Amino acid sequence: MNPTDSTRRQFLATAAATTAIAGFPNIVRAEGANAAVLKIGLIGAGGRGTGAASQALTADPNVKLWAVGDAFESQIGSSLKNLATFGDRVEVAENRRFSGLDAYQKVIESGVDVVILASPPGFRPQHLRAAVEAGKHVFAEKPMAVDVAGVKSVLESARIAKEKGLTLQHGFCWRFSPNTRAGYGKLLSGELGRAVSVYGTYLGGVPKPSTSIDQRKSEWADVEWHIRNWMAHEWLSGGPLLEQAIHTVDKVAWAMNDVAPIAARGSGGRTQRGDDGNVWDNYSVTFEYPNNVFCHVGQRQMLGTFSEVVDRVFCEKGTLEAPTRVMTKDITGKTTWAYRGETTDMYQVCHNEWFAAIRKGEPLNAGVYMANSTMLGILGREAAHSGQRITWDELWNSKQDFAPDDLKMTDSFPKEAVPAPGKYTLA
Amino acid sequence: MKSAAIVSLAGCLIAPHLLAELPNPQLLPTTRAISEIIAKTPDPEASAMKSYVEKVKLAGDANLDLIAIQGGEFSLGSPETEAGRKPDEGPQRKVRIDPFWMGKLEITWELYRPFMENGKARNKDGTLNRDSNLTTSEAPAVQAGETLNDTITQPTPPFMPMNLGMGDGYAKDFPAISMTQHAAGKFCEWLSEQTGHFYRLPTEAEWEYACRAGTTTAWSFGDDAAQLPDYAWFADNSEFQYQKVGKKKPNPWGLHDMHGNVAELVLDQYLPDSYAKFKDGESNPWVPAPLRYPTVVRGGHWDADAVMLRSAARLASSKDWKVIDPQIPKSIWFFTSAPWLGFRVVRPLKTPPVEEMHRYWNMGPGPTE
Repeated sequence: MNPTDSTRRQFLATAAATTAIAGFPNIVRAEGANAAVLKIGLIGAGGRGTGAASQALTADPNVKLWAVGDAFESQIGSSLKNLATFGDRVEVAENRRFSGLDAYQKVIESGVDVVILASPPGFRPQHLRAAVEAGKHVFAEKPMAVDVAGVKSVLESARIAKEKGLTLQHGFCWRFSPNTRAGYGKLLSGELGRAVSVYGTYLGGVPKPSTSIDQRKSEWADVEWHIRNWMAHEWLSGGPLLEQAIHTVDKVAWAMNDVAPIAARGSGGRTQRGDDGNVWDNYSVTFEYPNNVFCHVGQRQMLGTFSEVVDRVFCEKGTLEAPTRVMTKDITGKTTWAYRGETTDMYQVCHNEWFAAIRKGEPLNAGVYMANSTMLGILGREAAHSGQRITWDELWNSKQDFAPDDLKMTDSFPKEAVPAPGKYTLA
Repeated sequence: MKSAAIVSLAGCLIAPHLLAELPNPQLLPTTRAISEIIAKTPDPEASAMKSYVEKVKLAGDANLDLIAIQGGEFSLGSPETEAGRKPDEGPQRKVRIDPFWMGKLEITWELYRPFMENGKARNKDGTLNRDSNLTTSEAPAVQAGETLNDTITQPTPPFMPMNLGMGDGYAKDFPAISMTQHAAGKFCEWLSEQTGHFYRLPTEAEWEYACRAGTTTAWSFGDDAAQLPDYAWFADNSEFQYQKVGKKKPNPWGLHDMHGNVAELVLDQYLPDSYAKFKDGESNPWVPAPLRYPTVVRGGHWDADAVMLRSAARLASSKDWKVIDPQIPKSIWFFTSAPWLGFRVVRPLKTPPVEEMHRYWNMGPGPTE
């Protein structure tokens, strides 16, 4: 392995830098021949999926919500209720509401043009593959997968999407935030000099406390119980470094111009969580990049602790801070620039750009960096879980696969042990 | 005492049936139980009102400083001659305000965080989640292993730290931010249950009365903006973030950061012509807020210019303050894009009857979005 072989490691063309500073379109206006009504299928109708459907409906006047699928029927009802403000643009007849673990396939086959993938990330690679094979444009929430097999599948799906001229949009939302873009634009244009290090944090509380084991109904098999508490299970959420702090991991990738790292090392554990799942609640991970650049991500989900979400990208001539308040500082820490514009809805920008690309027939396909940012999170997680330094190449050679694609709601699926460094090994 | 204002305003933007409807009636038993606790503490005479320090048990016995504010009369709003004045600050009205205590400081993370990060699995409406389904609300009755305080609806966990990257990660002396008016009202209920004193948000008129502290100038120290840095954190001196509370000079009544640092939530619905609806000589004017937007925000903040920090300046809340909330329905607890928004509490000398108390702690009942 040659750590300076940056051509091979360049997993996104340098076009990324331009994207970062490019403007973004306002609400698109369908024109001429391209004014056809696009039918949307929503797969995963929780709060976030419903939010994404709302952004899709807002992004383009000629779209309809056409089909909804979720593991649980009750989610579909509450999702549609919350989207009722869109009136007859929500046209989801009873026979296009699908529940169960095969609901995704039925949504895809219901005559939709675009799909929104917002189920727990463990299902994402399977859903994505089915969607692109059926020729649908896709929005996929982050992360793209929870294991190595999943990432490889996503890359293959991205390739198929490209061949078919389908768009593939993603939920690494900060890449659409106007102020964060302005900040990373300054970085990637070279204004601050070469990036020499990153310290990114995602130190917070627990975003969704697991329900306790005594709330498990006797008729719920393992699979159903795990899905109801999906954030607590590695095979569904990938753990909090993947599920939540992936935003910070993705911004490390962004700051490094989407070049792949050499290796990662890290630590962490499960200190405060008391539920019956198997995810950790804290990670401290360092990614090693070519040219002696080290990037550190701190993640924590604990009550009562120091909390912040800040990326600090240290460069030769100063530091970029993002993503909520975006500013640059000189090397002594004095603020040299701060974004003071209005806060714009980055989720909406994401969908506006997606539909604009569909309408223009542009080959928007972020599949490769979506997959690689996810892989970067897995690299950090596996280095911490195993307690070893793991190289990017070692990870690519791994056969890691957390769960089969054909699980049923009624299956037994005992949870894996909580990973113990020094004992746990990468598959 | 408030009913006259409710009637006189009905019909202007605010539907009368919403004004008549009690928000969250299903939670009335909780309000009733708390009002019984409060009733055991007799109201002091106005002449005996003193400033005091409250120990807040569920915040690790943290101190909450209360300043006694005597009742009186003042001119609400600004004169047309004031530099930077906007039309919504008039016409000026002479109004009477009853005595109350007001927080000497903006509510800090030390006080707010234990309420926000309450560590319980909660439904989206803040009731305890006992059935593994976040979308159903559940009865407020106290069950085994729960306390009355647990059954007060409280925030669901935020997706990211609500300090939004400022001020040393929830360090205790920094102001709590980014809460909705509903969340702030529920904090007052949470506080009242454990202290036995009735707390609520100030009305807009109470807020301005306390901010002016007997003055009639643009700011409580006068009309010279050059003095503002001695009294306030704002765009010129804040280094783009909120600052520890109480570090600047107080106003004449001993209240800190009424100008700047974080803007403050008050109870009133925002109407551009609120004051035209009030009569000269009216007591305790208040525009109840059955709609979640717009409500009034006062005092200016760390990212605002001097003119927005004037005693009479008003800001209207907006649903845009939730744009960084990725979910539908959006949380009723967080203004994810208002990193400059906080509040302080008041305790009126006279404790209100239970239904009025309930209205102060439960915002609505208008639509949540």
